[in-house]
Amino acid sequence: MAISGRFFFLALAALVPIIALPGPVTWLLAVAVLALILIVDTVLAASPRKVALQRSLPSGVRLGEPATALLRLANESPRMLRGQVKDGWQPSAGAANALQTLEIRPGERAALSITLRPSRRGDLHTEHVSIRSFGPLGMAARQTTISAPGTLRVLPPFNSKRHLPSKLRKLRELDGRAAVQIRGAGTEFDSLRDYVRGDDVRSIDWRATARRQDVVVRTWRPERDRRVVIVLDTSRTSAARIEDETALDTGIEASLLLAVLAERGGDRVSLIAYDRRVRAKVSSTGKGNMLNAMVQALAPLEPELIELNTADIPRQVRDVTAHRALVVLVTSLDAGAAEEGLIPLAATLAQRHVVVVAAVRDPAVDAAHLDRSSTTAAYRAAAAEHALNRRSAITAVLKQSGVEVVDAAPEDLPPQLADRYIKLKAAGRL
Amino acid sequence: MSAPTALVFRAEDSSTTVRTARWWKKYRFWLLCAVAFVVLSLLGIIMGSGGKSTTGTLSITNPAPAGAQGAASVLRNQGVEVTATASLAETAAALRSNGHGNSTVLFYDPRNLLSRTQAADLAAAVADSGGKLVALSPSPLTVKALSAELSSVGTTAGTPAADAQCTNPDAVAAGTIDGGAPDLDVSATSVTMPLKLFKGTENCFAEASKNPATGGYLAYNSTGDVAALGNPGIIINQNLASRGNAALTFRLLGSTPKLLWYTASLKDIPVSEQPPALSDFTPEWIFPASLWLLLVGILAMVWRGRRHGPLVTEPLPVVVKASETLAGRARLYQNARALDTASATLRHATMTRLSHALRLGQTAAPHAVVDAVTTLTGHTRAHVHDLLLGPAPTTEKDMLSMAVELTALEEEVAQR
Repeated sequence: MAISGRFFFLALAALVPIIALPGPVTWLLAVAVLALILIVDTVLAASPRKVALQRSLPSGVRLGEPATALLRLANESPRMLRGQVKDGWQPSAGAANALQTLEIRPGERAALSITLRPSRRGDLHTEHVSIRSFGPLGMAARQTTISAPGTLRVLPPFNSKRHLPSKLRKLRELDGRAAVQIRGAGTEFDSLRDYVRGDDVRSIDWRATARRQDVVVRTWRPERDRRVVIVLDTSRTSAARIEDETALDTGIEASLLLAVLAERGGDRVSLIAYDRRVRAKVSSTGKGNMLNAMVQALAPLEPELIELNTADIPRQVRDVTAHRALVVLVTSLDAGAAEEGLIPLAATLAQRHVVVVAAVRDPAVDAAHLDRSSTTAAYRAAAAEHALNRRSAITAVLKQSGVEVVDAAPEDLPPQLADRYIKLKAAGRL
Repeated sequence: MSAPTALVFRAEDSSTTVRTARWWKKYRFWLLCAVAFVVLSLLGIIMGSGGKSTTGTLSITNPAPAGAQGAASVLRNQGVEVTATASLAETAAALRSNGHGNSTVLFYDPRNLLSRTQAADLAAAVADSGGKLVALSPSPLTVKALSAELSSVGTTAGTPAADAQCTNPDAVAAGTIDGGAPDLDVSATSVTMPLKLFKGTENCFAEASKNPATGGYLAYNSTGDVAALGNPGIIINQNLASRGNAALTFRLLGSTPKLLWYTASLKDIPVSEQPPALSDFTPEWIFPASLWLLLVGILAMVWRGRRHGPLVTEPLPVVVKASETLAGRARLYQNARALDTASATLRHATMTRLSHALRLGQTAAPHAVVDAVTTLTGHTRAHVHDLLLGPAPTTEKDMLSMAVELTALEEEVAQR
């Protein structure tokens, strides 16, 4: 049951006879007329319960891009449906035109297209559709809410995709580089070619030169089919908001860039989102579209307010690969007990694997430690120096145990992590 | 995650009875609360208005100190039929129905509502029925109208007690009554009543040291049927038990089988003299139109306030600003005025950066850094030493200047 503005103004207009002919009779007559209109219009309205609904939603939309959700309605009542239909999207779905007015003749259908501008990553829900059906006078309406759940998966934006072309170019440049510069334990033999002036004489293959009359050098290519395991920390430290995104979002961006890059580089990538249990697990060992599988798996991740179970991570890595791998820990260096958590973990992993710790650095701290404009700022600078000191101490300890550390501001973390991967690959340390 | 397009949603196929039952189950609690509220309010109103006790001074249903429920109930126990009346007409009718010689009328008019004519009518009605009239603190004009033999002789501040000083049997039996002035042992919050002196054919309870012929608290006319009591305080619950108050009260009021307790009220004012109501000045349509506007206002609330379906919740993940810990630590330093900790941290950080800039290595001795800085910048060694290794500043101002100097030194070293 609902009334329209038209009914309200009708009631307001009834003031004229009430003033012109004051008396209880006029008053009661006005009430009776209004009540009659209300009842007649409600009774003549099409039943909103006799509406069948169908949804069609896009399978996924990247954060920041608009999406259109279709809602089809079929009027199964014998009366004309004049109504307002409201789709109950949650606010962060950004449904601009969730409430729409429409008319459907008996037995016919209509489709509403609702424009969504999601403002959050993850699964966004709509639970119900409310239909308000007005009578022929447009005065009163019957309203009902039909449960019609729908879910739109909003994928991570992958803004760091713009770094991908340049990083891929860098990766390709590794192929066929002069051997000696990149000579290392793991570099693979690629081919033999004629010596050209400028090649390092140490890369001359004398045996091949003896077989042919020309001087021949060996070329190398970066090793392929190495394992890259990305461990994404979704514990309480990932809930920290740095600049305008959480540490988890930055970690997702960095992981996606690294995964795509490593896959194009011929390595096999696995990703584990973990706090005390596995939140998401993707491996490129399967077929085809790794990126799509990853964004789908990472989309619903949210920071969990629990401590990271560092003791279990080596087992998780062993589950993914039994071989030596590049293990990238996307986590935080601010963790209160890094001595008990992160440092032993990284040291343990470093015994078997190449370990990179990637952490988001807060530019606010870097800005604060040199601001000495007032006493308050000086105290703040001291606090910032304390934080930086602690951070650099953790970094130093990690480096001592042979762990690589990438510590960068949110927008720099994905490209810097990619650079570190390329560097390790070039050095043949994978 | 692609939406199943084949899925069709319909309203639940349930009958009206089921829906009503569900609606009742959903709102049962609040509806019952509302009903209980209304019932309790109504009960409260009924109890409040229909209850036995009232608050008027000298009301026979008022158990408070200023009431007269005590006197009335004692009289009732003694077989006197006590009836409260509120208007002259009512009193006259009661007098007629009571029969001849059966009635005593207590007349109390604290607000002087009765005109002289009405007072005279009252006296005549009492005289016709052969009853007695006891007037409590009547005004000077009223007392004249009640009986030409009575007159008012002014007011008095009162004395602790008053003796009968006359031959009237009632007064003699009472002996001494309260003189109206508060006794020393009565608390200051006790009720005091106005005191008036009257003069008639027989005057009793004159103030001490004064001649009874000039007037007393109780005055009778020549027949003894009309009495004026200038000290009504003796009848109220608070004072009834004191001295001879009770004796005088019961003898005055209890001499006939029926007592009419007449307290003048607004009903005694002629209609033409009542003040005009607001409705006499406003047009006729104001009331119905206002009522209608009220209704329209409710309609507007329903129109604008009706929601399209239930509220939708937004699950909010927890997000914490990362620099909160930094800000918190800074505030802690400041609130504790931790000058030594703060300055030590600042110095240590500068020292680390300087040794890095001067390529002295992580483990360089502090004095080596000081020496290197002195050589490079040309500051005196003592100045650099004080800045980097000196005693901690004792005031916030000193710490601030030290912090600024530290950054300046770093910049200087970095530029060279």
